[in-house]
Amino acid sequence: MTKHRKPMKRVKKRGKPHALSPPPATASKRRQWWAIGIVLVVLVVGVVVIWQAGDKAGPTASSSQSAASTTQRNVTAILDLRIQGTPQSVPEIQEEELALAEALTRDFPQRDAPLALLARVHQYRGDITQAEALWKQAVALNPNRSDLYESIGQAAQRKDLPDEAIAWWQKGLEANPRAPGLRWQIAKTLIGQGQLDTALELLEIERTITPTAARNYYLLGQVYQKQRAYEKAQAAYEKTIEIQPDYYNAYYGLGVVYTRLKQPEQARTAMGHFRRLKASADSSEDQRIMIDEIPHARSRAAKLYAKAYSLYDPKQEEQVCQRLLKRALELDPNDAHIWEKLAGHHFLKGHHQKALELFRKVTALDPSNPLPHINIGKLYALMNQPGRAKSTLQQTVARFPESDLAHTELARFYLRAQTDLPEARTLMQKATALNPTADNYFLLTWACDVNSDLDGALDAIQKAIALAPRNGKYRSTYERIRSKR
Amino acid sequence: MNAFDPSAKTTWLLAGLVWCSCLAARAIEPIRFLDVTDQTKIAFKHDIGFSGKYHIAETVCAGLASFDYDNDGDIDLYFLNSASPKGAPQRNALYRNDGNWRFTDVTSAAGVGDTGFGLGVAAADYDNDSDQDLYLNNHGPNVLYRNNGDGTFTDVTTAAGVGNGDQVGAGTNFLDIEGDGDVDLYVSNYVLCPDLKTFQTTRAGHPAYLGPAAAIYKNTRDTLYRNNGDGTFTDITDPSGVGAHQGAGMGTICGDIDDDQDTDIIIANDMTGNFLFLNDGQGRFEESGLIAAIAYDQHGEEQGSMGTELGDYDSDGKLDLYVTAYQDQWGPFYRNLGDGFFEDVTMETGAGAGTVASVTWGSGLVDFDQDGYRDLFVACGHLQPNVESYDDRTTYNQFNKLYRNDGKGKLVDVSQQSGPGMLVKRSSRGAAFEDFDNDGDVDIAILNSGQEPTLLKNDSPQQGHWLQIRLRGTKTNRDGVGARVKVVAGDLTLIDEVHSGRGYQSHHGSRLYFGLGDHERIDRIEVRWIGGGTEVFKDIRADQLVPLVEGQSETSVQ
Repeated sequence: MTKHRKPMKRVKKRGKPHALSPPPATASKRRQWWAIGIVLVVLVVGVVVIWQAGDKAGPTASSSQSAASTTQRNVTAILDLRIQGTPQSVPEIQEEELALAEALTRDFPQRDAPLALLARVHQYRGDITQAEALWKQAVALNPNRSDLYESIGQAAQRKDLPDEAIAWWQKGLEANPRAPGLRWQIAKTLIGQGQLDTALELLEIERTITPTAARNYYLLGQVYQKQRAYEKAQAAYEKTIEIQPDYYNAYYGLGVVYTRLKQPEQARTAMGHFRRLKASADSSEDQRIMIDEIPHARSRAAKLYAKAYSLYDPKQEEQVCQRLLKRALELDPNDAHIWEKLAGHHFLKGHHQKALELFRKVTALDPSNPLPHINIGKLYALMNQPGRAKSTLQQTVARFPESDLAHTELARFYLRAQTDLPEARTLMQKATALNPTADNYFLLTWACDVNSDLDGALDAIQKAIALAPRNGKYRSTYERIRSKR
Repeated sequence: MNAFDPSAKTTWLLAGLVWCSCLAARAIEPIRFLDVTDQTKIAFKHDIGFSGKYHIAETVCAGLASFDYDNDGDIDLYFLNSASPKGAPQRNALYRNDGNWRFTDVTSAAGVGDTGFGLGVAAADYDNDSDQDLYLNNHGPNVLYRNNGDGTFTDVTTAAGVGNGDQVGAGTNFLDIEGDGDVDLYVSNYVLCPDLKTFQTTRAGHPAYLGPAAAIYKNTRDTLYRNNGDGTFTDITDPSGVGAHQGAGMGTICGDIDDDQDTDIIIANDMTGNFLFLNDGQGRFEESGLIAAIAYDQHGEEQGSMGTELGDYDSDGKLDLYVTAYQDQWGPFYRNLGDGFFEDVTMETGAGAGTVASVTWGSGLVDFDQDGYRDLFVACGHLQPNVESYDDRTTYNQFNKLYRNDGKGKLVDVSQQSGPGMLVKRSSRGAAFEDFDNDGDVDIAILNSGQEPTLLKNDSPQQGHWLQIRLRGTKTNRDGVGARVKVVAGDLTLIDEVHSGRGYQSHHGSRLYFGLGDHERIDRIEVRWIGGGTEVFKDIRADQLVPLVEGQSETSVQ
């Protein structure tokens, strides 16, 4: 459709015929404006494109994380609100916990972890109903979280609904058949219901998954005791104590069993051990209720901040991460685990000297933890101080002989430095004995290989493959070693 | 519309169906209770004595006593009260049973209106003058009221020497520790409290009471008094052996646990191992709770033990034990295996099912439906008044629980199908089980913390025959405290003992109750008097209250 044009004004010009075209200057101006407009549009589009593209240039991140990072984080608003220093009352602390947990769910709307944290906050507030609902939302997002099924089951058990508890734990096992502890929970509940044979079957399976867990044998003792198989119960309790000498419940069971076996002296001895160990456990447990709830509440809030830290990418959101840990330490400056996280943060950022200082602080706060010692050894290696790295890792192994990680890291050091190779193999043999994981077997493979122990290497890699059959690296290693043989 | 109109017929049919349903519902309620509290005209209201300091004693009060103070054949009621720091002092209250569920406040006339902070009570005839006296275990000085026999009492605490100093009281019992014919006195003490301005803590930020496991409270030892026979007592705590042990005593009960013809003592200790003091027959005791396997639950973990009850739930001739407990715990039920050993059968029996969210206190192993098997009643109620602010699983006021013994080792939860009396929701503490209306079955009186009491009439449809026994010692203690009674009727053999002080810091059961099922006659009743040998009473008709006097049986077995 053509527009009807306005009739041209007839311009009467003296001596000249009437003109129908516009003045020449207006047409060119219009063209100019069009050109400027087009350029501006292109510029704006370009800016937008570049701005968005800038977000995608970093390391791989979840889509929700990427989307949220283009805007102010909800958690930042929470951090900005916090005054310096520590809250003075439990309600203040609880409000801060709740605000933080809710902010996390807004920052990560499609993730199970923030929902689980929010559930825990509600649980501490005594709102178990809300906690349960959130756990259920979390497992709907991530059905592989067997720990959440465990929490839901425990909530049901505390409401005196054992059948419902068992059903949730069984769902957890469907999600992860090797989830440690769920079968044990179910077995314990079944024992209470008198379903001893089923409990026995579950415990036998659990023993294959966690063969060194003392509590499995303890429950076996309970089953046999209820079945009046007192000799078997005695053996089970004794095995429990062999694995974990301070398991006082097992001594109690043993004492009771000895009375049934008409062995009063042995019963008194066992009960004597029970009394002693229990007194020691009672004095060390932190469940003694104190008048002042505030330190406990602050500690819990600090841990929440530390868990929140784990949700953000320290490479992309260093400010947020640092502020979270800083707030955690304001709330509880004695939490070694939080200091360890801060040390790890600096390690990750390449601030090696700072990380070193912080890990040293952690060793003082938590002398029984081998990890900071191991990290100090690794840092020395990164800082090109191999002598110090070696001595640190050696001292760690000596100090923590039951830590497979300590053995692994020293072995790795030797293998990388191509020194003390026989010692590396010995260390990895010890590590796999302590903790037979696929990774440990893989490292043992390497250690055997460099020591020309091809049989040992083959055996180790086969074990690694058995534990992680889908790992392509293990399979290719297996082929390489087999071909060498 | 007339009666023959089709729509009218439908209406009548529906009405008839509804009526039949009600009848059927009632018929399948083998045990049924009615709340008759209003009918009794009991005006007593317990006061927890809130001081603002959140003292632990305010949460654990109190017990009550049921006993026939005036020997008129009706069981009367004595309620403990706390000491209110503000306004008029609170006092205990004695209500005389006038029959037909009517009670009269006779506190002032009787002179038993103690204004101390009442926690535990026991009744027995300590001076063998044929009327029952009262001992109050208070937070503060205790009180011994001697019954004058004329409806009045006299405070003889100082003269008797049983004031027990200034302690936080708990359960208390009369028992004859050495079989010398008079009852001695066991006084349990709860915890040692420092002198603080406040004991308040918080739970999720809400003000709350501390429990006995808090570091500021310390375990303490109990007291044992020997009756000198002249109206005075001697403190024998140390020589008896009980003084060597410290606990946080709450409910206590005495009975012949190992069936060796003397009286032993069980103390429920709150958040620490329970005690079983085994008597050597001479009034010396050895603590054996751990070896007996009643100190802890089946995993060796302590409970927030509250009240204790003894009764033969499986009719095997041995007294079994039930101990009530705190929230998130099943109060353990221990089956007596004999020779002083017990087995935790809580889960197997189902005792306490449904009480995980409750705090349980007084309890009774009583044959409510008289079928020959003892059922279990449990009084429930939280001790944190604002618990709902920080725990949505529970409430301060709670339903009580009733479990029917099926005769096959199971205690089946029938709480919600046992009449409107079981739908009363209070914060209950001590409970007493007596035939208050003398109609043959056992009723219940409950003291509710900070509230009016609850009186429940047993309205169960007649299920079986019954027998009630009132013992009268002549050479042994007058009330027959500690005597073991065995009732044999055909293939039915039942046992019980007279206890003074039991349940949650309460007293009841000076009269013994037996359900006999189908048995119309009792073949024999054996009474084993403490320190007095065994007598046999034969061929007794069921469905009556029988007074059995020592020395008046046909056959005496020394």
